[in-house]
Amino acid sequence: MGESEIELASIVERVREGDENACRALMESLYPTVVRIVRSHLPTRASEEDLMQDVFVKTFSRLPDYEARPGIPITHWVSRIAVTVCLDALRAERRRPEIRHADLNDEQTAWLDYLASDDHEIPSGDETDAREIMQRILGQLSPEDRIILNFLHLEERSVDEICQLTGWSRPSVKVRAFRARRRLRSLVEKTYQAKTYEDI
Amino acid sequence: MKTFEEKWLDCASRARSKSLESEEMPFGLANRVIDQLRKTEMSPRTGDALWLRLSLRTLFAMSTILLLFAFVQWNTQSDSQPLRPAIEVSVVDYSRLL
Repeated sequence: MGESEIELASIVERVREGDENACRALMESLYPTVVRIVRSHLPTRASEEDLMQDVFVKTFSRLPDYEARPGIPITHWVSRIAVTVCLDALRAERRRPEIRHADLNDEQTAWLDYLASDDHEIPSGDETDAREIMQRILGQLSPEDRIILNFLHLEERSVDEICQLTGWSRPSVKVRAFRARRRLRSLVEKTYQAKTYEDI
Repeated sequence: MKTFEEKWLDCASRARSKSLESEEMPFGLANRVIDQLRKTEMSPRTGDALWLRLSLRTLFAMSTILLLFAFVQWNTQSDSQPLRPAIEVSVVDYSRLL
């Protein structure tokens, strides 16, 4: 057990005894983990802070049931809670906003063209544009497809990590990823076709 | 020729290089979480709340059923005619036979 893990374990004990300062300290140390997950899987119209609040409230309410296991840091347990909260928020999203070409800037349009056409030159736009167009496209998929592709491609997580974070089995993750990729491809093609019709 | 998958990974690798914004916890978030936890602690426990809700519902349902039965009973009584022949006559006839 590392030094930081021992420190976290002692903070968790103090939280269980009802120490508010320990609560704050635990939130400070878990914040980078939680914010990374929440930002990657944030529903279009949800507030980042509200979702983080939900994650922390759930974490503290379930803390009495948490059992520390050697070699498994508390951040893994919290990450799973964060993923569940995000997945629930994505499922609660009533409608997924369509991609309107008028809302895309030149760089984002160039990325869409690059993805769907025979164009082989990588667009020159910055990372914000690439991220924006990816999130817009992923936002059209189902919550499960979106979360799995986000993990695989944007966060570069392994299948084992995804299993741990979502609670899905290994074969289930692989099948879901395969189907999600197929749906993603057809979605990009459909969006591109709609764009070309609009241009005509 | 690049496949769709390769192009998508190009886009993902460019998107990944975007550094996350400030890593500092937003001001007031900890207070909001602690306040919400306090409220949850003050509210009745889930089991108790469930019991209270269910018992209230049961009470309401039972009262409705009792009222319904009372109404049906009252209706039947008001509609019913005296027995023909009257019960006392039948008893007397029967006792005579004996």
